[in-house]
Amino acid sequence: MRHPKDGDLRRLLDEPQSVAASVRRHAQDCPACGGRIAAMRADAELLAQRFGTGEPTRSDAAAARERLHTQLAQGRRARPEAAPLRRLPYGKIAGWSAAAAVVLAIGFTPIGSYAKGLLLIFQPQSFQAIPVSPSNVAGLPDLRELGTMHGTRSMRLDPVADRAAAAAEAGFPVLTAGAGMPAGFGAPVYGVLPSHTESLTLSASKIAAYAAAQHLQLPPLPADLAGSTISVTTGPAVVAIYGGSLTNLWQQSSATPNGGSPSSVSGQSPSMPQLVIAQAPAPKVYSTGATVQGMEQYFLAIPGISPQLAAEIKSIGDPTRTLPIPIPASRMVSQNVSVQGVQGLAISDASGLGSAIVWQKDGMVYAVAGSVSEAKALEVAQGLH
Amino acid sequence: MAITRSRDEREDAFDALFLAEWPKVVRIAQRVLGEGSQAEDAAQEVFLAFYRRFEGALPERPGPWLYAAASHVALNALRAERRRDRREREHAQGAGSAPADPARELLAREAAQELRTALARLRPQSAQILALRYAGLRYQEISETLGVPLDQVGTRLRRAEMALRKELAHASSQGR
Repeated sequence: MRHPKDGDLRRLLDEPQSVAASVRRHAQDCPACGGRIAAMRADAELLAQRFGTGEPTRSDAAAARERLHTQLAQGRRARPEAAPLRRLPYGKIAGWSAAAAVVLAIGFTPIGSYAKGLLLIFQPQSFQAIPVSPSNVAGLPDLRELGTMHGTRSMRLDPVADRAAAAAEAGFPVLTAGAGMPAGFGAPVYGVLPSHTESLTLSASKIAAYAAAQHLQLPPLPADLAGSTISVTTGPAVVAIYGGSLTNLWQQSSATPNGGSPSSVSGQSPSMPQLVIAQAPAPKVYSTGATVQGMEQYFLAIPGISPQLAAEIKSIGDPTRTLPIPIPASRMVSQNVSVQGVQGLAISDASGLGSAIVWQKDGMVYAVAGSVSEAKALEVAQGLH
Repeated sequence: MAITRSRDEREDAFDALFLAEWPKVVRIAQRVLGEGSQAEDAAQEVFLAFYRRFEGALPERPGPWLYAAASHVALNALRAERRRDRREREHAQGAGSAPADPARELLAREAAQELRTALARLRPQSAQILALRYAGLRYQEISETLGVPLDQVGTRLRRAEMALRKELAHASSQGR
């Protein structure tokens, strides 16, 4: 018999009865495999010691359950309408495209509004993921409660014939995938999302009315922020979709992602796009008076943003250079990667099957996302030309 | 598949699930964050997210969702903590604020810190499989949680262990 692979020998250590009898016999008789198992055992013992063996007790669990019920009750009082949290990008969108979630998070949720609210008067040079979970944004008000918003949110992706047509409509050269593109994805379909501006004029009286209605102690609006208007301009964006249609992409992005079984997280609807490449000029933020620091300070003091989330956002450092991207903490992980010679952000969903790479270069923001591993998404990103 | 019940039944079912799964969820978080209150906070966050997501109908097999969420929340908290630590260290440089802990406690803290630093340097998928296995999950459970074939679990675990050993060795050669 050939020597068993490492994985079988490793399982032999932990669950010997689950390994084929032939592997067990071989491991007993083969000195070489005996040596491999001894090395694995030494590593496992050392790591078990380092990881520790803490064991929570039943009474700990009962106490934790009481704490959770208290927290849930507080959440219900502080947040009579649960809808904003349900719009967080959990669930069925996560599997196929982390990028869709990012777009959703930034563009279509109250949290996204905050993210926009924080990126003032600048063009972001880099990205930083901010893990967001329901508990640390419970009670977050919609930005409309704090002032008057202008600009339509019903953006539409216009289909165009090909890459050249997309470039002509968007007004910038459109990069295309190179050798890194997985085989079998076929030719892409292109769509253009028109340029879009959204603005918020902060109102001291609206904030006071909201605080009174919600029985909240909101911090007073600083003089330089009252009446100040902040505008965010995004796009135009070009989206290339591989293995799917514009309609499916848009329907999926607009879906309310509540529910979904664990298996659907990593699963994928057969009609869903397999990979999406998006490119757009970096968002621009203008203000009639508010400073970035002043806005950040004010927003982070609003009840509903947990101290952890506030600390996390503050930890980004210079808010005029870095765009915070909220990601659902329990479903996605992120890390910095090097892409096209600059630093980008890789975001993967829980299953590891859906990934996105986001980066900025020469004033343009790029995203590659799909039902592919992080390594594959990065390969596609590197190959764009 | 989800199980639909009346509100009271759902609350009872959730409580039973909480008591049954809480220790395992905490254990996963502890392997990443250590045995302090941070791990319990992470577990709390997981159940809160679970409750809000499945308020209408509990899933038939909630384990994989809970375990995946536990490892993700804990790893995200670890990375956030490391960013904060780095910033605080930069601010504290030259301040001379060394704690007056007994030597043994200091060594234990250093060892724990070393493990967490090494863990944070691993690929997220590697850190995740280690947290799950060293929290006592069986290979079948890990396979369902990570969505990887059962016969791949041992191989991925072994690779992750070797990567962690390498990071720990690197940390020892640099730090001590």
